[in-house]
Amino acid sequence: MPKPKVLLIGWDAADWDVITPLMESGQMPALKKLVEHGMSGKLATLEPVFSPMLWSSIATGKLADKHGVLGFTEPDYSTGSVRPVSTHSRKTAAIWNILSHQKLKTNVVGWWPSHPAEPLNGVMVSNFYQKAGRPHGETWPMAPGTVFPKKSSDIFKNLRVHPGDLTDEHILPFVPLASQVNQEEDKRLNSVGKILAEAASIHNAGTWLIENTEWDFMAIYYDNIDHFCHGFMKYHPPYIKGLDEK
Amino acid sequence: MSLEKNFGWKPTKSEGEAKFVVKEFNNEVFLVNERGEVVEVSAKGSLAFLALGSVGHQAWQKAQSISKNNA
Repeated sequence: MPKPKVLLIGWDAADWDVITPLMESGQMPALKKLVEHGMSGKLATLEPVFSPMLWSSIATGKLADKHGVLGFTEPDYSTGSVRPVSTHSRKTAAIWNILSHQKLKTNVVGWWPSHPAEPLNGVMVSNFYQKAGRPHGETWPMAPGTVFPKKSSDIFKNLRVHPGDLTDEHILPFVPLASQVNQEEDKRLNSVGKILAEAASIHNAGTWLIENTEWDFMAIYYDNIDHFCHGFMKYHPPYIKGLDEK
Repeated sequence: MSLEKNFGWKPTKSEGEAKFVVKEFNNEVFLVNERGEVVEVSAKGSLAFLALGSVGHQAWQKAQSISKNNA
């Protein structure tokens, strides 16, 4: 009998009000199967709705005053400025630390925040992994600390997708009239490409680990729904008065 | 084309799971699974290959590499 495993998939900003009609119309058959053969329900969120804070609560089972991740940034007392929250901001153990300590094989991909990657009994790919810091065609190094163990870095480096890699086959299903967009003036197509490429990089790293490593617990975090919503939810019906109808 | 001859593929009775692998034949790239489903991979890629994750990415990269070499 195969060993039981736990796969924790985080979809930031996923909403049953959007998902349910898609499942009912047959557009999300895999999720529908999971719902029909398992349990589902609505999660209440915490306030304020700062993603790094919320996802740290999911990872630790604790509120922000205990886990220490209070928002997107934190004061950097050494420079007198602010810096993005990091793995070091978390004051308590995450579920992957506890399971690793129990000698269970544990993989984590893209959790927010998870940079620099923590030593685990498994593999951690940090939330800096998917960010394309250089123009397409240039060498695109990963930030130090992106992958634990470091020796696995080359595998993951080659699984990333740069927004410039994408073709019309990837963009047109989302924006059928993309060819009519003046990209000098309107940068929203760039946003679509960036969000999609980042999601693909995370998905590639996660699926590679699922298929090529032994694991008992695995956590993967996707931020693409949240980012699409920030950029484009205002165009979702019902029509908001004042928006350009085109 | 014969899957058995060209890809060493053997059908199984697996119902719940079908794992794709990347195969190259006559300068073309295919994804093949245990059910005998064959998908041709274009160098332009597709959302379906992105959705497949690392195996789809590997197939897409291979198709791009072949297309570049043939150009």
